[in-house]
Amino acid sequence: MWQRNKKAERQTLKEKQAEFIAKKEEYYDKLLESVPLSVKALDIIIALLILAFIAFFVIGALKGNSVI
Amino acid sequence: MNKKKQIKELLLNNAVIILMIASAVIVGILRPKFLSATNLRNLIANTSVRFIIALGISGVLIMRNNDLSAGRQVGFAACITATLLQTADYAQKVFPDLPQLPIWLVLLFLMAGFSIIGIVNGLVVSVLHVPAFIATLGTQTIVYGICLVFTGSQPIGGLRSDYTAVASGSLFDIVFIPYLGIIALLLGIFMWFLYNKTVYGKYMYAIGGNGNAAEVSGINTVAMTVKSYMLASALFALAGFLLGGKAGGTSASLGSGYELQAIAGCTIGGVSVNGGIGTVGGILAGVMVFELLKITMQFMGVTTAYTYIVQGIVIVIAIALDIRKYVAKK
Repeated sequence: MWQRNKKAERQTLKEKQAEFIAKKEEYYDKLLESVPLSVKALDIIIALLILAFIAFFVIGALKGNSVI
Repeated sequence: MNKKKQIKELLLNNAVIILMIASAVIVGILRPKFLSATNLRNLIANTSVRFIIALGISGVLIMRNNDLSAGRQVGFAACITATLLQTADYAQKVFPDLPQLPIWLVLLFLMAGFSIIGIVNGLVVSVLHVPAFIATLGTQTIVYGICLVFTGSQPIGGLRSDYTAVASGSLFDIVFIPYLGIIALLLGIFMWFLYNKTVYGKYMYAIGGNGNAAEVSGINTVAMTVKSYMLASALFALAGFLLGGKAGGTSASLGSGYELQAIAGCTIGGVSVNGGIGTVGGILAGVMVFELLKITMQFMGVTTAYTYIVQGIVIVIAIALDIRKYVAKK
């Protein structure tokens, strides 16, 4: 049966226990293992995505305004 | 690090926000009405409701769960509120013999009632170990069905003016300080306190970071999961209450897809769907960026099909930037 442990609660509040800090990095590590990406490669991907953002925004606006 | 590199890093780390501000500035130049007080008010009001829904979902996401029933719960809450707060002389009143109820009582009843949906969600996920995605998908469909039966698939109107004033009024009649914004701000402060300064918050991040370690350390993970879903549902009820008043009328379709918008806002704001990460400030930024994007596209007359593509690209950019930050740090 679970019992409340007030001392442990206070301890948890005081300390940022390392093992409880989320490991998003672990997930990214797995991704980078299968697809090794450098900073430069990611910069290119982000630049392409920003270009796609601008392109679809402009095309959508032109279509919406019956320009094309 | 030299100054040039520092500027480059700063620009890249905040690329999504910069992109949105740049879009807003360009749209502001092309469509001067975009920068009007009324539009700013719309942005704040729309962001406020989405922010409340996103706050509800964030607690569940941080604990590695999910809640796909959010949008339907919001819609159902709006429909119940509307039926309880109709004007006495409205011809199509759903409950003709119902006396005038105080608004606060309806809100309390709603939040308490919807907490029960949260308890059910939490128990199904934590006790029966049904994946959150499936469990809440089931709840989503059930809630929508109940809502259709409850409303008879008819829109509900004739809302009391004191109710609609809560959602559409402004403080001191200043257009860009809507009550909705103040409610969302107060709730944001409360949630920040809850996430950062209480045992509940610490346990929530602990379970999201490492559920097994948290359980072994004596944290009651079942109770925490149930509490997170309860809180989420109570917030969805509040969001539905405000949304119904803001819209001035409701129907069962209200709130459809809001859960995905809230999850997208959380993702852009840095909440990890793998659990353990997320801040209230980040959620607000994420939701606001998403709303700003929608409004800029509306003003530019972007067709609906393209708005979805653009919104999707923004989410992918946010994730790509997060990965880049990590690779650069390594």
